[in-house]
Amino acid sequence: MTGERILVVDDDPQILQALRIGLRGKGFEVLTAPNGETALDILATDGVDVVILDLGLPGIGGHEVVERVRGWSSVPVVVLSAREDQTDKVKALDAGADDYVTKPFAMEELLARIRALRRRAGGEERTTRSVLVFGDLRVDLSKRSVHVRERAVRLTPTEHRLLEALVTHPGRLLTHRWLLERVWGAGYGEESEGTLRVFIRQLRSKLGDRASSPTWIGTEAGLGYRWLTEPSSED
Amino acid sequence: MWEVGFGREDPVRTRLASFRSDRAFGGHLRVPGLVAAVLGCLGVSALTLFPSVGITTAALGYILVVVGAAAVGGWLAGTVASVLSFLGLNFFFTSPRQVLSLEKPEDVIALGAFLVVSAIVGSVLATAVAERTRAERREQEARLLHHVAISLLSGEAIEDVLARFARTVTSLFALARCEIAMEGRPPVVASGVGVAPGGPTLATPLVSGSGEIGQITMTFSPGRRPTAEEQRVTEVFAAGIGLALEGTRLSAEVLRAEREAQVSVARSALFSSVTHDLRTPLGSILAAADGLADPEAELDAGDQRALVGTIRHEAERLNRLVGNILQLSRMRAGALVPSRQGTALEDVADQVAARLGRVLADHELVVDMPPDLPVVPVDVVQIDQLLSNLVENAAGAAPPGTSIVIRGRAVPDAVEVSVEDRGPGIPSEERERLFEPFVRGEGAVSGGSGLGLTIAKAIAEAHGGRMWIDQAPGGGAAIRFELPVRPRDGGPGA
Repeated sequence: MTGERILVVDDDPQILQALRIGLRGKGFEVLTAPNGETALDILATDGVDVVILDLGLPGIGGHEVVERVRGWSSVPVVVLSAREDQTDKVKALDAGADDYVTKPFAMEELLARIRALRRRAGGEERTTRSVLVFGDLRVDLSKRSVHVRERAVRLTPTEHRLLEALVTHPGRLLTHRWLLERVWGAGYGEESEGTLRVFIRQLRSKLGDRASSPTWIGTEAGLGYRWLTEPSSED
Repeated sequence: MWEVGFGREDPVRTRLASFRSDRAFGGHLRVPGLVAAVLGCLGVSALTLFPSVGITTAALGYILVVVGAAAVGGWLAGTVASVLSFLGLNFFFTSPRQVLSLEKPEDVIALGAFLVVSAIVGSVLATAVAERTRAERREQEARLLHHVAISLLSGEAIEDVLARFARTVTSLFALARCEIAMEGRPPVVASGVGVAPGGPTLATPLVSGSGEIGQITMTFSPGRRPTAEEQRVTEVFAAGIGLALEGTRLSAEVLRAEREAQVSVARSALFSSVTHDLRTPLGSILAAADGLADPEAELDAGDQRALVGTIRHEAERLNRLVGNILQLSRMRAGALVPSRQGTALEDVADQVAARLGRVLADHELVVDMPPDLPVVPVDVVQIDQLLSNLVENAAGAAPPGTSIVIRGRAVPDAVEVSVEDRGPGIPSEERERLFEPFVRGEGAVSGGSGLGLTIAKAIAEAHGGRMWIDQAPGGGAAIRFELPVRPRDGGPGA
């Protein structure tokens, strides 16, 4: 994924410099904006593949940038949020941000988020692959079969839809709402998060994935779940 | 400590009883003395009915009556007994009987002898009794003063001690009223029982090293002036109380000064701890950065990685510490307000275990939460931090290779979560202290800020819950907290 353009929006020049150098070292072309206005200008005029957006911006805040961008673009947005601001995070995700990284963050973590989002944006060709392998887990989407260490795992149709939603978006934060819509459709009921949790628990138990030291399904408390493992290349 | 010397019963009341009897004795029992004189003389005179009783026997009998009356009733009773004895002897026993005569010189001598005997006996006995009474009274007064002084120094409420003193003095001096006024305190008042008010007053200042600090005002019954003795004693009392009050004030001041010194020591220890904890990682970061930036340094790739690793590691440490200090100041400022969201604590526990499991590779993290725990309205980030602090804390205390369990259970109206380890446990007397900032437990790993538990507890309380330390089933420490299922906000931290 070289040559892709990343826009970094932050009012702290040190962070901008560190990200510019770090991301450039990974082969990205890096644009920077010190505030929301400049960011919107760049987004309107230049083609950008990923946006890294600080929420605490002077002037037009991060939330507003996300809202406005979503008016015309589906460019992947990773927000940078302070550790304490869960509500900020949720608001930004609700407004259309795709994922978040908590400040201060590890470069590795940020790159993983960017990779996961690029995979989606870079065409769905991988997800059209019908067999996905994650270490000991093998999921055949077309045959609706799941194997853990060569042993078949029987899933209910709902569990299968849930697993499919997860494995086709590795590395991405999948919010409760997103998963519910994806698995149960738009008309999901009120006590849905609990229902979702029940199905996630069943799925984990059938796959042999421990929630407290997960290999596959990670928990983002209060937000959703994340499929942790990259699919290995075709076996 | 002082109670040993004074026993359990009210010492003043005991003393009061003895004061009363002393007073009566010291007052010479005038009426009983006169009664004894009259009855005694009548009794002896009745011996005239026995013709065999001679004048000598009768004279001896009268002498006994005179001595007894003088002893009991003082000089007046003695004189009355003398006169009656003379009259009785003269009338009933000297011949001619039934006739009063003062003609013979013996009669005059007899009368004189009776008077002299009664005067001598009366005055000697009266003096002795008065002396004894005075001595005893002085002793009682000294003991009362001593008791008051010690009670004041023993930390008993000053008002209580002085109220007892006022009651005792009122009774001792037969006062109508005794009022002790002190600077900055409500006055202490005792009223005499059955003593008419409105008599003369005696005001005695309470003096301490720093000047006059109050006054004892005694009101006597009408027409009774305070004796010189009473004035002297009152002055001694006033001086004693003044000194005792001064002592109390001084010891309170010493205590306050000591406490202030302790607080200031703790504060400066805290400050130097924070300074040290902040400076240490900064120092490493600067040194590593300088090493990387030095154009003359010959660093191979391994060196560079090591230096960069140092910067990362130390920056993370700094980040944790700054985060904790920020939380602490937020907590102090009452700004630890949870932004609540219905949350399955199981999710937070899983998240914490998954994240820390990678860092705390020496311990196995186990989450044991029943699936049917109620959803709790909490601030996810804060509860994540609370649990992380507890788990990190447990990992610092528990030996490598042991497991740390995050256990949850439903309790009435709340969910209780415990973090249990297989460490040595925490002695019960240390438990509360560990929640104080910058207090590190025995054998805690270095690098802990001593803030983790403080903040964890503050977070639990900000959610309207509570946190306490217990013993884990395996003998290690169990730090437990409870979060209410229905939101009710706690106080501003602390």
